Amino acid sequence: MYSHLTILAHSTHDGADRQSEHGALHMHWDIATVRLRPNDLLMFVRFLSRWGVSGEPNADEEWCTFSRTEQGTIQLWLGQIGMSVSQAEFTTLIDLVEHAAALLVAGESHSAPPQPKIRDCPALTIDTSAIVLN
Amino acid sequence: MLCQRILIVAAHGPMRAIAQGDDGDLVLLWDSTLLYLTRDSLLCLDDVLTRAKHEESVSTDQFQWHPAPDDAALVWMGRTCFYLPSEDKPIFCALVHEAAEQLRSLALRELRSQSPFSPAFCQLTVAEADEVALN
Repeated sequence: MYSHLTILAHSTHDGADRQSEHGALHMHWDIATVRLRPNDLLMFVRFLSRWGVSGEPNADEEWCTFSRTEQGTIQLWLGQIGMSVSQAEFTTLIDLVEHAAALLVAGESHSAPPQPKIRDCPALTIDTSAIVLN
Repeated sequence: MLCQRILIVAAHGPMRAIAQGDDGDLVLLWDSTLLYLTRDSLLCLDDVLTRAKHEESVSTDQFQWHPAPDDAALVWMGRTCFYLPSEDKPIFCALVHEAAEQLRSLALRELRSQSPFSPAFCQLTVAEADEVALN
């Protein structure tokens, strides 16, 4: 388990990306938390950036898949884990992981960015009470 | 779920387990994913998986079980879904069932330690009350 998790991005849609001191990323969404290695998160972001806003009904790349249903929801698959999200939530999720990936790439996450720096992020609402210490 | 202690109620290897926090809620660890469930939700999921042994598809408010190609299955838990390959289906079902049995057993043990005239005892079903009485 982890003694420290750093929030990289957080939204009001009950979603958050956190990084443990071991480097694994925890993407929390709805009732699930998916653990990703940093490189996997970057690949996921590339997939979402390429296909998420393209309007394509389906996309399939490596272990990432999404499909739009007739009801307007989006089924997103990361390997064997699927999530059903609305279009608005999908947009939020893309913002969330893009922000987390930007922090990773900038290397700020390795030194555990101070909370005020995260709070300055204009696109996302940060709730510092959501910090979880396991 | 922010817990000081957790109790592992079922496990299959290091990466597949179900644990209960001291707040009563449960965490299902399945490979790279953690899923948060209430006690009632887990018992409901166990019922769905039991029904799935005899029915092709099962749907409730919270959970769905659908067959997939190659004898795989899709189990939807809320808006999260696990794809279970053929070889993982029995493991997943056994894990959830073991946890559900543990929870039922723990509940019974707690009830046995209470006065038979306590409100909790009065809420027992006839079958549960019989079991408590027999023990």
